[in-house]
This record gives sequence, structure tokens and C-alpha cells, in this order.
Amino acid sequence: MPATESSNNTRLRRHDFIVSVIVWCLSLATFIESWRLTFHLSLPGVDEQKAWLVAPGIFPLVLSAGLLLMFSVLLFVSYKEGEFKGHFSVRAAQSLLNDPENLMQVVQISLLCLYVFGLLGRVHFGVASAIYLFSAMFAARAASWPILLLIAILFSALVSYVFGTLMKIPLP
Amino acid sequence: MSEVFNNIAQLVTNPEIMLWMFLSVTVGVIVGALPGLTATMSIAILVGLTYGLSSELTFAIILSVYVGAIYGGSITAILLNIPGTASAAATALDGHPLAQQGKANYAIGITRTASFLGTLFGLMLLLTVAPLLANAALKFTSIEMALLALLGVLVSGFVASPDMKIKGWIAAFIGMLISLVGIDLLHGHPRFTFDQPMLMTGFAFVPIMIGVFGIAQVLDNLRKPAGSRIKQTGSIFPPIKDTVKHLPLTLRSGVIGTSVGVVPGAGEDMGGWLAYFAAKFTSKKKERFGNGSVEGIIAAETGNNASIGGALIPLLTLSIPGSAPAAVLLGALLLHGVRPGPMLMTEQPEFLPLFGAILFLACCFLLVAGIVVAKFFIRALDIPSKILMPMVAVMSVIGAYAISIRIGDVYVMLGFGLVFYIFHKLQYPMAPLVLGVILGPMIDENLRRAFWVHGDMVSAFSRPIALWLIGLILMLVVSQMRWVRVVFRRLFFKRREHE
Repeated sequence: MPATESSNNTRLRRHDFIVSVIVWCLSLATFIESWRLTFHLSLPGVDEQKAWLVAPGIFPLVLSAGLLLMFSVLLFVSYKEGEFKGHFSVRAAQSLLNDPENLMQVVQISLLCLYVFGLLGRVHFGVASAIYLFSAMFAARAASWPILLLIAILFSALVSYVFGTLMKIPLP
Repeated sequence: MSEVFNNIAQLVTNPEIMLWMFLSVTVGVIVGALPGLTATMSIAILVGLTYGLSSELTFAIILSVYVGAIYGGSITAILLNIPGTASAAATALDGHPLAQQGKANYAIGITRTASFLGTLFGLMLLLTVAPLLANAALKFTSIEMALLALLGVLVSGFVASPDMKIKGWIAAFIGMLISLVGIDLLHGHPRFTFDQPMLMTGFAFVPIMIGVFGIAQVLDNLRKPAGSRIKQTGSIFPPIKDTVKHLPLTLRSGVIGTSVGVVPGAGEDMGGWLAYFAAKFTSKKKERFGNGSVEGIIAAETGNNASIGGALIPLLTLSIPGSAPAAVLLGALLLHGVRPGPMLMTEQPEFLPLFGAILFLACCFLLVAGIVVAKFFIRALDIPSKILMPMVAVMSVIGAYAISIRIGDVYVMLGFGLVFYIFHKLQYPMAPLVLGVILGPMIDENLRRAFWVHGDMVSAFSRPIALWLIGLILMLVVSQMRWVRVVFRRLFFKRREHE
């Protein structure tokens, strides 16, 4: 395996490990709740001895057990292949944030959240979309700002007209 | 069959119907290409809008939109890696890599031909062996339906995973768990709702689908520095020799798609996935799958379009819809005084030939409308991704909202999109997750109903078709265990050495 590919794989396994720990815990919580929905629930009109077979928790129980098992395997594999030594330091976290690509991602996610949770429903859809489009394209340095402004306004107006007026599809 | 040709001749001489059919196929392709606007939704809207029209024109419009929408999903799947409909998720696996290699024109051209042949194949079976296939589908009781859906989900997990196979299954299991949130339909008991009214109705699959495919694509493209534009070469008309070369694959995918479509509830999504899996399993170029395999896109598109004919078989012969769009179509049929079922052929013998003729002409229009729409959509690739992607985000918001006119669905879209973006970065495939969300409730309900009817697990699983399906599922799971493969290899090689 070439050196870059090997280092990418090691990094992937390290991230796999962190996500596996979190989702393993969530799976355990789901398993416990499913257990309650399977074995500690009385269903009207169903024989108590066989109630667990048709209980609403039986399928989630199987799924969460499967997830626990699969995440355990993934935890084991990712721990073995992850080479963790010295990778949970403050410097490692700082270098992650200093990466321009990661920074751009944080900005774009924030803009999306602002558009969906902050602007939609409070401001007219066309205006909200124009603000989001302009800021997202500007942050990504797509072109000069007057061009971006023009694109944002034209696209928002077009979408609002085609969907809202022409196709009669309600807009948020 | 001769009555079908008579009907085709009559329809062709009616310019009004021809024009409406062409427009409807075109609208269907556009609707299918836009993430969030589904075939089911467009048919549901049309049922109301076409109420005052004649039955002939109504079914011409509705079936044309149906055929167009199922194909349309593949266009954005190829160009942007965002499947317009869930049934096009398998097409995205190989279609988008082809677009990245500058072969978007070819991919769109070949999928259009595959969709045409797939729909035609399903139609042929609908007209010739419909009652026979419908009777076979009746042998599928709750337990078989649950196991078939489970097989479909596991197959998609197995096929779609670019990293470890276990990640595909994890995505599928998470998808199925998400689908179970809300009021349980069998006993009316809330599951994982934490007394939150918003969670009582559960999560719709469309916002999740848009979130996990659309948002991931938007964020992925906006974070990278601007790359050079990929020049798309080649013609949108695929060479006939390529279509002829892949004819056996097309036929096989057509058989799989139609057979899956016949099973009530299975739908076009599973038709495409199982056809894709069979193509990968039997291909001599397995390594190309996931990296731009032409066989992959042909199988997926033929499979999902052949499911249209398949889904119509139980609808017309037993009054049981094979997929969600077919269920809405049932409403349209009843509204226009057509009563599908075993008596359809005796009570309204003229209906099935008319239906077949409309479907055939819709297929033909698809070949033309597909070019018109695709040529327009391919131009989207000329727009720099840093300008195109925020536009895709706005379209995703409209798609998520339009399905139920709920702002909560837009939040669900963004929430799931952001959470599963992390999974996407860790190379978890997103298609099995979406298929899990779609088929999860079907597996849950049918499994528990089967246990209820049979009274215990053993007798429920002891039916012949169920045993066969369990065998396939176990084979699929066990084949992925390393120690099983090692033991198998040792046994096999030892035996060969002895020989």
C-alpha cells in the first residue's frame, strides 16, 4: 500500500473509532428503550406470553442489537488500524481548525443553518434565498460581488415565480 | 396484443392526446430530476387536476408522468450525484463517476435507452403473463414481503459500500431504526418519541433523502478549492452496438425489475437495486462497479423502469398496488369508474389494451423528452460548482418543504443532512440508509403481522419461500465474515489438492 493511501486509511480508522464510540452508546440507549417496548409492555387483546413477539419494540431491538454488534466489530478494527498515539492533543485539534478547507466548511454550514433556522419563515422566501445565495457564493469566492448579487437576486426571483406562482407549489 | 396495436393506431391519430402525452412525459422527467418532487406526489396532484377530463386523456397524462418521473431521477443522479427519486440511488453509484470522467452525455443516453427497454419489457409482461405473475405474487404473505424487503436493504448495503461492507449494513440498520420513530401502526404505540408531538408522525423519507444526498454534495463542493471544469464529450445518442451488446443484461434486469415490481410494496427502488446487484455479481468487470460501470447504470435503470409494468400487474389484476405511485394510480382508476381486480378483463375488456397502448407511447415519448430535458440539465455542469451548489441548497429546501408543506421537514432535511455528512465523510454509503428508511416500516409491520398470524417464530419462518429468502440473507451475511471465507477457502483448496 502506498504511503499516502496508508496514512489516509489510518486517519479514516481514527475517525471511525470516535464515531463508533458515540454511535455505540446511542445504540445501547436504543437497545434499552427497545427492550422496554418489547418485554415491559402489555398490549390489549394479545396473550401476555406471546406479546413480545408482536410488540412494537421487537424489530428495533433486533436492529439495535445488530448495530451494537457491528459497531463493536468496527471499534475493534478501527482501534487496531488507527495508530492512536499522540493524536488526541491540543495541537492536533488546532491544526484541524486551521485547515482552510475545514474553516470554509464551518462557514458554509453556519450559513445554511442561518438560512434554514433563522431566515425561512421569518423573511419572504425570495429575500431569504437571495441573502443565503449571495453570502454562500461570496464566502466561497465564486466571482466578484456585483455578479454574485445579480445571480442571487435573479435566481431567487425565478425560483419564487416558477414554483410559487406558475406551479402553485407553496414555498416556506 | 392486436387490440393494443389498434389502440396505439387510434391514439397516434389523436393530436390532442399526443401533445398532452409529450408534455406530460417532459414534465415527469423534470419532476423526477428535481430532488424532492416524486412520481407519487406528481400523480397525486394530477389525480385532482385531471378529474374533469375524459378517462383516456387522464390515464394518458398520469401514466406519461409516471414513466417520465421514474426515468428523470437518473439525470441529477448522474450529473450531480443527487438522485431525483429514491429509485435512482443505484444509478448514482456508477452514473456520477462517469460524469466525472467527462462521459455524462453517454451515461444519460444509455440510461434513457435502458429506461425505454425496461418499461417496454415490463409492459410486455403486463400484457402477456399478468394473471400468472399476479397469482405468484399472491404466494408472498407478510413474512415473505418482510424478508424480501430486508434482502433488498442488505443487498444495497453490500453493494454500495466503498470501504468496509459492514458500513453499508450499519447505514441500512440506522435507516431502518430512523423509520420506526413515531406511532406504531399495528398497536398505535409511540416509539422513540420522548413525548414530543413533532416526533409522533415520524420522519418522512423525502426530506431525509434530500438531506443526505443534497446537503452532502453541497458541502463537499463548497469546501474544495475551485477545480478545473470537466469537459463533457461524446454524444447523447449512444451507439446502437452498445445497446445490442448489453441486451442480455437488459433482459435479465428487466426480468428482475418486473418480478420485484409485482411484489406488493416492493416498488421501483428495490427493482433497481436487485438488478444492480445481480449485474455486479455476474459481471466479468466487477472492479468497475462503483467507478463508472456502464453495466451498473444499465442494470439499475432497466430494473427500476421495468418495475413500473411489474407494479401495475397486481394493481390491475388483484387491485393491490405494487408501489407507492401505483397506489395513487389506484385512486385515479377508481375515480374514473375503473374497478381493477380479477373481473377487470370481463367487465371492461377494452381497458387493459388501452392501458398498454398508453404505456407504450409514453415509452416512445420518453426517448425524445429525455433528450430535450437532459440537454438542458447537462448545461448545469457548465456552471461553476461554487455558484451551482448554493442553488442546489435552495432547491433542496423547496423539495423538502413541498412534500407535506411543513417547515419541520426542512429542519429534518438539514439536521439529517449535517449529521450524516459526517458518516458520508467516513465513507458510509448513503443509499442503503435511504432504502432502510423507505422499507423499514414495511419490514416491521409485516414481520410482526406474520408472528401474530402464525403465533410463533418457527412456523412463520417455515414457509418454503420464506426459507429460501432466509437462505439468501444468511448467505449474504455469512459470506462477509472473514473467518468463514478462510475456512471455505481452506476446505476448497484442500479438496482440490486431494483431487
